[in-house]
Parts: sequence; structure tokens; C-alpha cells
Amino acid sequence: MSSVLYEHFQLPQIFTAVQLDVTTTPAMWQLEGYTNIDHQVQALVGMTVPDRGRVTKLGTERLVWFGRDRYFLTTQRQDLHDSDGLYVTNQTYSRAQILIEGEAARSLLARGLPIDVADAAFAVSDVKHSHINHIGVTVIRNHDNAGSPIFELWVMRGFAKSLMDFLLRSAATLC
Amino acid sequence: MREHTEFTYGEDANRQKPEIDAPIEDWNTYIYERDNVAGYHMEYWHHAFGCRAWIKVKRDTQTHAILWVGLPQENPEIAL
Amino acid sequence: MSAYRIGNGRLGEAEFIFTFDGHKMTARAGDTVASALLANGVEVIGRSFKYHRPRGVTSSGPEETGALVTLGSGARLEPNVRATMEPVSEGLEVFSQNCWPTPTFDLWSVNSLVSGLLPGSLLSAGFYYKSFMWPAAFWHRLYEPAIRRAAGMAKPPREADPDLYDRINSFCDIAVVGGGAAGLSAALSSAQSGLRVILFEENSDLGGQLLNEPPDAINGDLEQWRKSAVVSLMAAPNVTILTRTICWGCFDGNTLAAHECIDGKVRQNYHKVHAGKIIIAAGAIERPMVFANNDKPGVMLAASARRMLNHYGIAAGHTLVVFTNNNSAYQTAFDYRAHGISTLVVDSRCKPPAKLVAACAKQGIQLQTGGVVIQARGWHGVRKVVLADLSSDGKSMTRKRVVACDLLAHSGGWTPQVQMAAHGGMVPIYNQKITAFLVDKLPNDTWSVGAAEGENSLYAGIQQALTAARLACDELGQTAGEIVLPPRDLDGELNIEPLWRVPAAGKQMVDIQHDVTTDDIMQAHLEGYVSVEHLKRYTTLGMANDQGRTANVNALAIMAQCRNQTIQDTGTTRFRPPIAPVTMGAFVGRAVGEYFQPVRRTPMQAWHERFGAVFVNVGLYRRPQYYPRVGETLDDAYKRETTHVRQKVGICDITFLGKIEVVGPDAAVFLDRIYINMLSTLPVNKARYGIMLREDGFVYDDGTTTRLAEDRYFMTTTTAKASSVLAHLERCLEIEWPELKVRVSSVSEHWAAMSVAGPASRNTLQNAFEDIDFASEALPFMGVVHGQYKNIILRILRISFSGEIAYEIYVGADHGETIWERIMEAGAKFNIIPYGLESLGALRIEKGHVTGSELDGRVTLGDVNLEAMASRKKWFVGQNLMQRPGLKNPNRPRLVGLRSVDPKVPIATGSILVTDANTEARANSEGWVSSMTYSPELDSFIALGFLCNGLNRYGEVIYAAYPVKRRIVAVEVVSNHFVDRQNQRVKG
Repeated sequence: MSSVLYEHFQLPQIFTAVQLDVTTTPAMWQLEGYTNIDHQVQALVGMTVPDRGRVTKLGTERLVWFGRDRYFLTTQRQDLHDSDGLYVTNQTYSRAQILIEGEAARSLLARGLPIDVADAAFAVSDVKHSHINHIGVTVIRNHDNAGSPIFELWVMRGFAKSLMDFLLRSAATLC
Repeated sequence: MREHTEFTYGEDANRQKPEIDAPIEDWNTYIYERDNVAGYHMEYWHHAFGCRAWIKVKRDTQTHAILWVGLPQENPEIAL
Repeated sequence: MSAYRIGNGRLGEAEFIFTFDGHKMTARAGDTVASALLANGVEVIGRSFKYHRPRGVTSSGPEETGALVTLGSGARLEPNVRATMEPVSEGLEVFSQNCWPTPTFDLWSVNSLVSGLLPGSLLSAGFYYKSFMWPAAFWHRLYEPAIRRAAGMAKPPREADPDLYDRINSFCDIAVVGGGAAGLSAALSSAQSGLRVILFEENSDLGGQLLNEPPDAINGDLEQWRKSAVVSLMAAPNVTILTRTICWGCFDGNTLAAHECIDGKVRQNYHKVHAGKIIIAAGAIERPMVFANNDKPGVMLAASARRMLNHYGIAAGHTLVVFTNNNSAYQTAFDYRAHGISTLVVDSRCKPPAKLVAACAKQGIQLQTGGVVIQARGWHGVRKVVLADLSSDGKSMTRKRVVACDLLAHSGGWTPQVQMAAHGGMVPIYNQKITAFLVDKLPNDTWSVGAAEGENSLYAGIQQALTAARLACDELGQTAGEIVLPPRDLDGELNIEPLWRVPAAGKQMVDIQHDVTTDDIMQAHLEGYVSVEHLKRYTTLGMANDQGRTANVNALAIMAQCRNQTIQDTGTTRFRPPIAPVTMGAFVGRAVGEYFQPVRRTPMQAWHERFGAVFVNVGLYRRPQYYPRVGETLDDAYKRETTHVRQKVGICDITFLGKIEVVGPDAAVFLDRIYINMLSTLPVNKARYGIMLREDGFVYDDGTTTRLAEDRYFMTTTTAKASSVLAHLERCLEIEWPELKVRVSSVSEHWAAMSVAGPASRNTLQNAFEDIDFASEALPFMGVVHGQYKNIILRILRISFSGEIAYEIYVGADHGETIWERIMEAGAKFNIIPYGLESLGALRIEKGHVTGSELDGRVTLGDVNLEAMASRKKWFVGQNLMQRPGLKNPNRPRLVGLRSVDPKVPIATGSILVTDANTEARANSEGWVSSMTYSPELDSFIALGFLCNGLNRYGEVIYAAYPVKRRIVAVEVVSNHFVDRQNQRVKG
């Protein structure tokens, strides 16, 4: 994941009922094929592929559903290659990861994200692809922290600062 | 059910692509001519800000009601 | 001075100071500006739109037509605020409008005097079409500016809005629009199902017409019910209550738009509400009676006068006359009389219900049946009214007499608020029984209940609401719950006998806010406006803040009478969102000023900023246009940069290009279909320039594709077309050729990209990256190598856009700045400089390469002299329609170079090319200029353009005409390859 946000912001930024932070992972790979690639992905990472709209996890590695027969793998591993109908493309620097945690996390997201993020509509380990003010985002719900939801946003590197600016300005005026 | 701003309109799904060596008039029809339907319309949309899939949609052009959604190779079971 | 505070109503203890036209006044917590002004005895609050007639408070809600005020000053000035909707806060500044110097002494009211003196009305409907015509020249210079200055209501602020607004996406299962008894019941019942409910209420308080009821202990049973409903709803975790929030539009897919006033850190919110089901309980609005001077201060809607008394504790007058054609206004009479105020009821019906007659007798209320008010009289506010008896045929009057009166409470009936229900395009139909319009067939998932559906009785309205809640919950797979009903019913039966206007002369207002009278309506009819839509626009009836809430039905009925047809046949105008004024800032949200649109940054953005680049917006990107030295202009800089690249070496950020990875066993086949030239024959680690066409045979985009493996290609596109091309590829794969085993994805953000160009580029790069071999054998023209610099992987293409020997370096975005700085460091001894978009453009024009300026969607391969590039061995997208005779016509303008005959004279882009300088350019056009630059190499201004038969006209002198600026420049037609025609430099 890109470290671009650390260049622009003091983090974490803590507000009354929400806090924003950034995280990175050493590598991110796009895994895709032209048919069902469960088999190949299992062989590569030892994890079953997630169902549509879901995230699976094993240790520090995660597989995120990214469309038909396409998954993003976050991992420490720097050295992956195409094999046997499975195409592996490096996307490590293409995204920045923003974490939004707190009682008001949903309220903050509502100010830009046109998806229902209520507990019943967006479960833990769900992933949805949408946009905030026309900046494409991938939204993952991580495990709660002491009853507070945590949402992880992946945003394209080039838009990361602009999105973070918007989120911080909105967070500052949340009651 | 996702918000419309995640999508862009694709094109009319009723076109019949001619054979490669068909006369140019057939290709002209394919590229330029459309029926302007008041009622049920099959069309393609692109989930550009979402999963980026192309989908086929049956929409009522008068009420904007969406009657059916599927992948481009599928067809609704109900008659048009 | 006729209104005064008589009790507490439901107001709080706390007091505020506010000002009106600079005068300090007190208000209680819960007062609106309107009730506070009344409590302070203010009668005339402003002047009317056209005639400058004195205006006061006419209602207690969104239908207010008289008490329009301006709030605040400077950047926060807000005109045309309905005083009945604005809560008072400490220090609030309120100003009267449309009058000078004061509302009570307004010099502009000369309009009114003049209109009164002359027959007919000088300022009647459409007056500006029929007057001020002579002399003709005066219209432009005198009349129109004068009318413009006098027109309009109040003044807008001049400064930018300093407040913050949010746009919020709200989701719920059941949206309840309206917080009156029906809405509260629907919400209470739905809440028990566990579904998510949002309740929207326009006012600060919930209760709707229950707020007209007295809150005290004697009649307090309904108040108890109201309060406990509110408490229950506030306690429910699945219920959100939004007060001071108006739902102003209903859209496809059960989407509602709502506007919430908070006045906190954020001033107002725009809610885009995605609802599963919608229950509209928006209530009904009372209509005025139409008689002369019914707009005078002191003339108020009956139920509003009652709310003033019971909710705000204000008696709106000392001597009350109630004028009505239905039952509901009697409650106002009873409540005022109970406070000891002298009351007379004038009922236009001959035989009102016996129980009302009896109640009047019991309370000592005088009752005149079969009577009408002809006119209200008084200098500012009403002091007397003229009464008469109406004949049984409703056409004539007898026994005129005058009585004292300083509060005239009138009721002409009730109009259900059907706007939201009608937004789906369903036409409201006139209902004879309730004398109002209702939407016949509601959209799916939508119910209309209570007074909004014409049901004015409390229990019956609540039953409708409970039925709707039950059905809505059922349809969502849950069960609505039971609720406790209010302890007693309120009979809403109106027994209305319509009296659309009192048949007498005088200024009878129909649309009070816009000064539209019955005469205007009749005039529109006489002038032949037969449609209600025309009536509306011609008279401006229904076009003000209140959107005709009190005016529409009366107007349609009068129009129907004029036209001798039924109200049903006359119809009603279309309801469109928004149904109430919405601040522009709320639509915009945070996208103001520098935040107007997102900014997309390249990995080297910070470096460019530090180096003093001047940026230009290219889509959402901010691209360095040039890097000026001290004292340099744009022209100085780009000429210097261009010269420098040709002579030494420069580095340019090209991250902006679209980058697409194409993988799969059928990738080669796929690209052969997409591009006009062969990509399947491209060897691994080689790059090739490609062009793709649209289906219709015109050029779509170009770029360089590199083959990284048998089944993996790396494609670049132009900046502008990056998203479009990716969507095109995805579309082809998913719709046209789903059998192809290919996947495409954007890698634009993962890679930083930079171009190093110039005679010293090879040496610079060799110096920067010792472990990579840049010798020509190792990295030939159009070749690709991968290498490393300190464990950073680099992909290097040898390719040129400028025409000098050049390389493109691709590296992971986080390392972009490191690599860029390494190259700058290693190139220092070769005098490397950064160069920007302007110079990039100059270089490529000198070389004769086409870009989006030429490939504008209207040109073919032939037009840009590249038809030979198209393969004859395969089919590709666009091939069929490329063959159209029109596109093969040899007379089509073809790409040429143009050189200014006088080298110092620039050629304007967009110029029209003509052979004869003395002809009219457009009629004799033979082509156009698409790009231009100063060429340092040729020391001349040059351009690229398209010219009929251009390839056969080299050496000819023609003219580039720019009629907009009346310029014409002589140019020589030359080859578009100005520099290094043999491509020796790039192959070196």
C-alpha cells in the first residue's frame, strides 16, 4: 500500500466520536483469471477465495473480492508471479488505506458515501466498491473495536490527499 | 440495490451485430439506428464506480422502473 | 398595535433579545419571528411585491404570504425568509423588505396610489408586455433598467456564503413525511416492527394541527398524547426524528430529498434519503376567502390565528370577526371567545350545522349566516370590515353594513398537500366532496394519509396512517405494532359550501405574495389564456415562496367560473421539486472554492511544487505547464525548455497517461481486434505505437503498447481517454466477445512515469542507473528493459514523443520522487532541466505527432495520413464503417504543417484556412488549424492543421483567418514533420 498519506498528514487525527488513521501493507497484488480461479488462488495463498462482496483472512494476509474472478491480496510477500491461468499484477502503490473508527464512523461516511453502512446492511468482512464525491473507494468493514465499528477505505493514490482532506473537514464538524 | 451515481449508461442492448463481411448498409444500421421505445427497454449499464461489471438492464423508459438486471449474456425469463 | 401576548402557550421561559429594523424586542424560547413580532405589537412587517401594500402575518406556517423578512447582514444576509418558519435566537437581526424608509411609511407605495386612481390597473398582469413601448429607444436605456431596479423582492447578499453545509446519504426502511397526528401514529406503529424509520417534520415542534389545540390542563388530554408520542419516538433506537426538515422532492427509486436547518457548526444539511417505503402525512393548508383587501395586516387564516393563541400565547386582535364557508373556523371563534375576546362569525352558508349554531349561542358569539365580508378597511391594518347578506344564488348582496374589527380570521376550505405524491408525474384529480385535488394513483411503495389525503378527522386520519404502516411493514417482511389512540376524536367534517370569491369589486387578492388579484385572473381569461399553466406564468400566480399553497385552488376555481367549465376540467398545474426554497449552499455541500472538485496528484507533485512549477488543470490532474526561472513569462519558459531538450536533456512527468494491463491467453487476439495495426506480432520486450478506432470508423485514441510476456501487455492511453478506453475494453470483452480469455485492469495509479528526452538522455540515465545497460544494442528504439536501482524495480521503454532520443521510465509510485531526484542528480552534469506540458506540446508539434487536438473525434486515419498503418490482414473495430464513401473522399481535409510566412507572427489555433484572403472565411473554408507553437528549431511560428488536398499543396501560401479577432495570417503549406523527418535522432 502507498505511504503517500504520511507525507501530508499528522496521524492519527482524533475527534470527539471518530478518529482517522492510515495504515500500509508491504505489498498488494491483483489476482485474476478468465475462469474460476479458486484452485490456483488456494495453491498460492492457502486461503479460500471470498464470496462476492466479502473478505477472507489468514494471518496477516487478506483476500478482497474485486469483481468477477478478481481478488486483491494484501501480503508481506514481494515476489509473486503469473502461474497456471492465474494472472498476478502488482498494485502495491495504487491505493492508500484509511481507517475510520468510532461511534460516529457511520455518520462520517454518510457524508459522502452513497452506500448503506448500517450494521445490518454492511457486515464485518463485507467489501463494497463505490465512490465518495466521485473519488472511487473500496470500503471494507473490519472487526469492531470495543463496540465501535472500524471501516477501512482504499482510495487511489492520486486522490488520497484530496479524500483525506474531505474526511477530516467533515469529521471536524460532526456533533 | 446501488445508487445511480455509481453507474454510467452504456448502450442499447437490442442491436444485432452483422457478420463481418455483411454489406456496409447493415453496419450503418447497427451503428446509427435505434428504436426510441416508450416502454420496456433493454440496455447495458456499466458499474464504473463499483465492481466495473457491465450489466444488462430492462428499464421502463416512461416510469424509470427497473424491471430486471442480469449479466450481458443472460435474458429475463418474462416475455418482453 | 392590535396583537398582544395573552398567555404562555407551549413556549419556554427563556427570553431572547432580537432586533427588527434596528429596534430591540424580546421573544420567548419557541417563538418564531412572526409570533415574536406580533407579541411586540408590530402590525406592518413589510410591503407587497408589486403594489407595496402593507403586509403583516397571514398564517403560522410555510404558507406564509405576508410576513417576509430579511435576516442578518453582510455575507450572511438572507432575504425572503418566511417569518413564520424562522425560530428566534439571541441577537437575531430581522429587517423589513420592499419598503423605504419604514414599513409603515413607504414612499414606494405610490404604486398603490396610482393603481388606485386610474381605471383598471397600470401594473396588472403582463403590464410590461403592453406598456413602456414608446419611444422604442427608451426601453433599452430607461424603462427596462428602471423596471429591473424596482422589480424583485428584497436584495441578495453580494459576498460568498461563509457557512458550511453537508450532503448526507440517509437510509431507512420507512420514511414518514410529516409529524402531525397521522405521521406520529405511522412512525409509532412502524417503529415497533424494528425497521428503520425516519420522521420528517417541517416545524421545530412535532404535532401538526395538534399544536392548534390548547396545551393546558383542562383540554390537555390531546397534549398528553402528543407529548408521550414524541417521547416514545425519541427513545426508540431505530427511529430518527428530523425537525426543521422539509422533504422537498420525491424521486425515482423511492428517493427523497430533504432540507434540514441546524444552525450549528454546519448550517444546513441536504439529505438524500433512500427509503424502502414512503408514508406521506404532509397535512393540509387552509385557504383564504377572496374579498377586497383580504391581504391587509390583521387578516389571518383562521386555524393560524388559533395556533397563535394556543401555541404561542398571542391574541392576534381585540375584536375578532371569523369569515368562513366551512366548520373548521368555528374552533377559532370558540377559543378566542373563551379568552373574553369579542367575536362575530360570518358564515356564507345559509344553514351551518345546528351544533355549531348552538355552541355560538351558548358562548355569546354573534353569528351571521348567509353573510359575507365584502371588504376589509383600515389605513395600515384592518380596523373595520364591510359585511353583507349574500343572495341564495350567490350573485348579489344586500344590507351592507360596517363593523369594527382588528382581526379577521378567514377560512375558505382546506387544501391537502399533494406535492410530494404528485412528483412522480401522477396528475391530481379534483375531489368534489373536499373541494380540493388529490393524487388518484400513488406511485409504488407510497401511501398518503390523514389531512394530506383529505381526511380531516383525527381518528380517521390516524386509522389511515396505521393501515399504511401495517402494509408498509408487511411488504418489508415485518409486523407493525399497535398504538394508544388519543383520548378523544376531533371531528374534521367541513360541510363546506365553496364560495370561490365574494362577488364584489375591489382588489381581491388571490396570490397574496405576488399581488395577483381576481381581476388579473379574469384578464388572463379575456386575453385568451386557456391553460392553467399559462394562467400561472402570465399572472405569476403560484410562483412565489409559498408556491401557491394558499392561492392555487381558489385561482383554478375562479378560472373555471370564467371559462364556464368544471374545476375538474380546468385541472391544476404540475408540481415540481423543490416544493419550498432550498439554499444553494446545501446542494453544493463542501464542494466550494478550492474543494470544488477532487484533485488528483502525481507522485512527483511535491517536487514540482518545490521547484516552482506553474500548474494547469487537465481534468482532475494538476499538471506542470512550465517551470519559470525568475522573471520568465510562459512564452519565455516554454521556448527555453523546448530548446534545451533539443540541445541537451530534459525530464517530464508523464504519470498522467492511462496505463492498462491486458492479460490472458487471448490477449494478443483481443488487441488485434482493438487496434488497427498488428499487436499479436509484437515480440516480448518490445513496444509499438497503436491507434484504435471507434465503431463508426473515426479515430478514437492512440498510445504505446508494450509486450511483457506472451500473454501480458502493458498499454498506455492518452490522459483524457484513460477511463473511456478502459470502459471500452471492458465492454468489448463482456458484451461482444465474452468467449475471449482476457482480463483488463487499470494500473495507472501503481506506476509513476517520467520521460527523459534529448541528446544527453542516454548518458544521463546511464549515469543514474549503473546496473542497467542503455547502449543501443541492449535497449534499441521501441525496446523495453527491466532493471533495478537500489532494489527499486524500473521498467524502461525507449520511445520518443519529442523527436529526440528519449526514454520513458516507469517505477512504483511511492518511489517516483526518489527516481526523479536520482535522474536530476545524475543529469546535473549534462544540464538536465524539468520541462512541462507547454514545452511537451511544442516538441511534438515540431515533430508532427498528432494528439487530442487533431484526434478530436471527427477525423479518420486518412485525415491524419496514417491509413497505411491499418492492417489488411485482420478485422478490427471500426474497419467496416471506415470504408464509407464519405470517409474515403479524397477531398477531405488532410493533415499538413503550416509555417508562418512572417516567422514572428503567431497562427491562432482554430483559424479557418482559405486560399483567398479577401473572401469570407467560413463560406470558403478549406480546413482549419488544430495546434500551434513557436518552433525554436525553425525560429518561426508553426502549426498543424487540416487542408483540402493538403498533401499536393506543399509550398503554396494560403491564409489562416480568425474572424473573431479580425486577424488573417499568411502561411506556407509544408509537411507536418518539421524536424528530423528521417527520424535519425530517435534511432541514434
